[in-house]
Amino acid sequence: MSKSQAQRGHSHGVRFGAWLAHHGESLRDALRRLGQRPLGSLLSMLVIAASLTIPITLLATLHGAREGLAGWSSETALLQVFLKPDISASDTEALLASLRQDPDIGEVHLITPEEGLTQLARSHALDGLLQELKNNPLPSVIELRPRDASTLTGLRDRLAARQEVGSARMDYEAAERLRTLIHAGEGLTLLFLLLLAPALAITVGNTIRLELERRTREVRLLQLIGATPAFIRRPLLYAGAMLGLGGTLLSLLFAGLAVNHLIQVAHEHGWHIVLPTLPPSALLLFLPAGAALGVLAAWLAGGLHLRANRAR
Amino acid sequence: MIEFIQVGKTYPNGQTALENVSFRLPAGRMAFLTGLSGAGKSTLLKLIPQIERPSVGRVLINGADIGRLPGWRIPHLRRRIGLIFQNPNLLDELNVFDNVALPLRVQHYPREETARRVRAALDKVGLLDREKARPQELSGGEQQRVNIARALVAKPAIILADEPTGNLDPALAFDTMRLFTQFNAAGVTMLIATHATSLIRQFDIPRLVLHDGRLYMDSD
Repeated sequence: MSKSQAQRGHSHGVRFGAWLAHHGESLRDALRRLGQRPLGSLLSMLVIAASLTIPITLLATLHGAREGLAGWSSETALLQVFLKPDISASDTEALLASLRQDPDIGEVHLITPEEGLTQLARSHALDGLLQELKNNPLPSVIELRPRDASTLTGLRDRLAARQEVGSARMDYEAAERLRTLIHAGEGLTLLFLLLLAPALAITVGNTIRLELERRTREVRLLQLIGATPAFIRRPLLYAGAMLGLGGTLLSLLFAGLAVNHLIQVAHEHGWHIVLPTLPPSALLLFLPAGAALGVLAAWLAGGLHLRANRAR
Repeated sequence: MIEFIQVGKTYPNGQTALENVSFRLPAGRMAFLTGLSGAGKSTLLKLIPQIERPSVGRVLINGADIGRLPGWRIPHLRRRIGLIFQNPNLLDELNVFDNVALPLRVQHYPREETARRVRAALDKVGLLDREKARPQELSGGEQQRVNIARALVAKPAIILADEPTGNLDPALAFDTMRLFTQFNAAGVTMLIATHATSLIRQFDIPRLVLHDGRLYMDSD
């Protein structure tokens, strides 16, 4: 390599270092300018947060519900056999004995009407109301688990046909229906988030446009002394990223508070629901997506402004 | 070298600022551009860094037609040109050092090189001891010298000045012009627009005279 080539390489390396340093300066500049107008910056973040909180809360709740249903499948499902109300205790015992001898059936467990009423009172805090009842309206229920999950449907049909049995239900069917609804809900919420993205971009873009209008003199001077559009836009991109990131962080915080409130309300009504939380992978998706949306909005707003305000 | 070939400029409102202007300013030379207010001096200067584009004709710098430059090359053209305005146009939130350093920052000069060049430029205009001052703490003459230091800090090949002494008293205006002749002696091509005829008569420098958008060589 000739001396001049080496010098040129060195020069490019040094300039690259200075270019990287400008990124650091741009980040500090963006933070300083956002800090100079804390109320305006906070309001922009709050607008983003307010828009994102509802869909994120919905997603967290749906995710929690889906996690709660994870253990419910045909492999682990129970068959609940509701006996007719007029079946005597001896007939019930006889039915239980025959079921225990059935080679297709693994576990068998009887829930008497009294036990059913106690469980109902405990799980729904309805003790006072249930004590008012003159007669126990609940039937005896036999819960059973088949040895082979694939025989579940056939077993249900066979038991439902017996004269002592009122109805037989597989508990995972309801879970399956709920799972389908949750899946549809998640899709709709994600679609809603996608539709919100342009509105959020406009919020960030407007903040950036106002910032540029405050700095018109500086921007024109930079254009006159040879600054490229990328150089002028760089601090704005960092500002956009900060607004997007801050807004998304606030929305996650608000969503957390909303979910906690939901759980408290549920507990007050005796519903012990699972704490729904978004998985870390979702957080890792939301935060960069919020920052990227801010960058994109700042890039567009900055580009439009620079095009419309060339140095004269 | 700056060369204008039959250049005309008409603004969108129909006002003709320049008409059939042709001249050549060789590299390393200096000229005054004079004329009454509204004669087209500022427009002519703006055509060189592509702040405005000519309606007709060609503007060449070192033989290259700058009208053919793509938009992304214009910042690079402007880096070779130092601009000095009548209004110093300093940024109030930056101190003197940082104002002067701006052209180097946009070109990504390393920190040490920037500091060395800024101090050398401030030394040339006699403001080395004021590098920490804010523009609002400076007199009008000092602000204009900061403006000049900013124009020369990146060692441009060309300096264009638009009424650089308009806000200065006669003694300071004379000092500023003498400073320009020193830059020119160091090889910088200089074109200075001014209507201060009594001042420019004190310097033996060619004059281009604009009148109603047409250019005449001063025979004086």
